[in-house]
Amino acid sequence: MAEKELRKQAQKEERAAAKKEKKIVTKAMRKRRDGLLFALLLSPAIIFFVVFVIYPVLYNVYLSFHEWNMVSPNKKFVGIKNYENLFKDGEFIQSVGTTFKYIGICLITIFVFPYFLSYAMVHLIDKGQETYRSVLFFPSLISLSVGAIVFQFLFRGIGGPINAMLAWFGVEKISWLNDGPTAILVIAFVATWKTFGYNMLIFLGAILEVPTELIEAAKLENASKWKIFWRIVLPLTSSTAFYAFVITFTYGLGQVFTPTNILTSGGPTNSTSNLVYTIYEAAFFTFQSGRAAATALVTLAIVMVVVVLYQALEKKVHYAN
Amino acid sequence: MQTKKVKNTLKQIFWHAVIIATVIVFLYPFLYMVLTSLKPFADIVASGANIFPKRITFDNYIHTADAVPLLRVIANSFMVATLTMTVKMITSVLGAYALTFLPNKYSNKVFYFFIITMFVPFSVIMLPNYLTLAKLSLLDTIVGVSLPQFADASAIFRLRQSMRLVPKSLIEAARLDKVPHMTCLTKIVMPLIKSSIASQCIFMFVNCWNEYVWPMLILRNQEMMTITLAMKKFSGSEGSTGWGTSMALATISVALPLVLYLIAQKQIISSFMSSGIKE
Repeated sequence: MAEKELRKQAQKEERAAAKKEKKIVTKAMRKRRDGLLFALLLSPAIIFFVVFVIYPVLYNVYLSFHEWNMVSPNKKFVGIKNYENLFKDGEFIQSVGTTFKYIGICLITIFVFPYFLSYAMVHLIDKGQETYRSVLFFPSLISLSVGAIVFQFLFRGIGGPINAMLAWFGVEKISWLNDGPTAILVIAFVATWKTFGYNMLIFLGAILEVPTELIEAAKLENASKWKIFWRIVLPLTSSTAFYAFVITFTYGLGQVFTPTNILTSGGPTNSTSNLVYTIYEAAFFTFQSGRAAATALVTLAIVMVVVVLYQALEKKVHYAN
Repeated sequence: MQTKKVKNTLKQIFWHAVIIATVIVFLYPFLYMVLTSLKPFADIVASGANIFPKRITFDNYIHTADAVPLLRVIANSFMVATLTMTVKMITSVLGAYALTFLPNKYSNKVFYFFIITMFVPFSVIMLPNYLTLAKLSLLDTIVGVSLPQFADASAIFRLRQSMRLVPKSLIEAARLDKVPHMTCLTKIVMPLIKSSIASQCIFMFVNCWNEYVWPMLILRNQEMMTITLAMKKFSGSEGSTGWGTSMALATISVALPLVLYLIAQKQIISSFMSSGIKE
């Protein structure tokens, strides 16, 4: 510690000496130097983003106008044929529908449900919040592939634990993964297991930020807990909620891939195939790079619509408050 | 008064019950995985909803070590995760420092650019990235798995959140003393936010350790297999041997994230709780 102090002292003296040499750095010069450093420090991140995020998006645009099997040296320009084929294809339309079904389930299980649960953890119980939240967050640190493999085991048709439990209530054996609708449900459950804790922490953070005086005042006026949620907590946490909504939507799109790949590979008869999975199949199974790129851009367009809507809504809410 | 008190206690009990039920639902798959990995082959198929093993055995782990080059697999995952975490942390700390302490008229634009990259789903860019890596002949390499993940907007975003809590006057005073920015970063800012950096490191490491899709596309050679890929190999194969092995592998893969979480739980939780709150 003392050595550090001494060194600092020495440094200071050196600097004082330098100052005396009247190396006056003008404000403009410093500004320019700071600007240079700004660019220098940000350039590694920017370069990686340009090469591995921006360029790929643009390259997708290029690929989507061409026909190419990923091996041949020539790419054939086909105009918008890839998009036309896509929208004429029943399987593609079905996969869009499946994607929205899946997102719809996820919005209930990892948006609405943790929202209410966080409120219950903060305002409806007196203690235990910290223990509950650390346990509930834990699955968020487990790999989606682990989740998929364990759920595959849990939801086995024959001898699976879930079916065994349902049998107690007289429910007949369900072939979860061999049937489109139930398979989508199981895939959504895997994503829920992964994301629930993460979203819960975001909601908890926002709900704890709501000024306690407001809630105390409402309690004095005998407002019900239900009313407090709708009238105070919900409006004051809405900007976080919008953020969580968009995150759930975009990450949900990504998270559907691993369980689809491990649990069903898109089957039975394509019933669980979704946008993200069709990109993968077109690119790495049937080697139609044009189709894969076109599907990728449609997916991106859907996400961008949601993001733009989010920003518009957020502004509105912002001004309304 | 008395009835009101009773009513209140009942309400408390009700909500605790709701939350505990949720906790059980979320822990059940994890417990099932761990306990199944300890069951003998014959028990696994027959046990139905019964979560507890009749007899504890490590046969599944022994069998796993025979069936998979376990050390190699763990080493591969470890190398990918360490490399990704290290470079990602460097690019993120530098970026977050520039955005926080060297603001200029471009900072907002750069920041929005970063945020936009957060909303591009991975699957949208996986084919072009695969082609880029093929061109660089980085398929089947550790670097190939890591390279596209070297920059992370959400990490920059979260580090910036912590850096903003460092008093600006501290840096300004140091700058008046002609302390270079890099020294400010390493000697003032980083020590002050070290717990946030530690939790980000753990989160980056765990995320990469858990990665499945991208390694699956890049690593085709059995020698390069990571732990998530090894798991998939045994999943779905009917018969208890496959199930036992995949549950054992899954348990092994969860062990490291679990230990790291137990160490840094508080930090990780507080960093995520603040991630959704706007300034």
